[in-house]
Amino acid sequence: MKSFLSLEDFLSELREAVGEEFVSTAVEDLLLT
Amino acid sequence: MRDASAPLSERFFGRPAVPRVVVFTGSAEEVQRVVRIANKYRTPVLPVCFGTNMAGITVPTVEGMVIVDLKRLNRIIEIDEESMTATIEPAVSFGRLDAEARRHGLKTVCKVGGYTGGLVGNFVTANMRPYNARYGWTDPVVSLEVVLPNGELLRTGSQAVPGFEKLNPYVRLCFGPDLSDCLEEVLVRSGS
Repeated sequence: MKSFLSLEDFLSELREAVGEEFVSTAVEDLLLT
Repeated sequence: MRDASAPLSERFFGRPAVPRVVVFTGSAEEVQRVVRIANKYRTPVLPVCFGTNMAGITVPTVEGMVIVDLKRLNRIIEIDEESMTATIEPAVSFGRLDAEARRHGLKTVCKVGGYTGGLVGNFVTANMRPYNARYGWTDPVVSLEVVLPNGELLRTGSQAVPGFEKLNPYVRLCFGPDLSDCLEEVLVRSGS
């Protein structure tokens, strides 16, 4: 089981799953809008 | 024990946390993929549509979780005038469905979530039940398509029957137990 330490792998898999433009890590900007 | 000096909202819903990432899914299949990946990395997932629920079910309370934003899933797939049912995706608001229903000579039940709130989130995860002056408390959910925590897809009611597309209208009570109630209970607990 992978740990959260490999954040880049995690984000990479998410981007592959839904498309790069639909994954955002700018969460504070998103939460304010 | 929760801190009695914390703001009232935190005492009810928990302390808000900053998520790690927001994913904008466009289909049930994409939601399944994201849930499976989140499981692999042992990361909690929080589905959000409009974020208007007053019970705090859209407030992230775990640092680093994944927000699955469902706003792209906003289609009104079908309104069946004869059975007076609508098949919708989660990001359809009360106001939008009401406007579309009126074009079909129908109207929606009491807007328990407000015009800008979502039907699916409020009816299923918040377990809301509209009151109808003629028929009393109504049960607005006929059939559900649900992504389970392990990423599998589950359909309830007549949608669970192979070839369900030919069945019309959908019915809630079909073969087997009524899983809708079971899921609503689980979802309410997970959202609290």
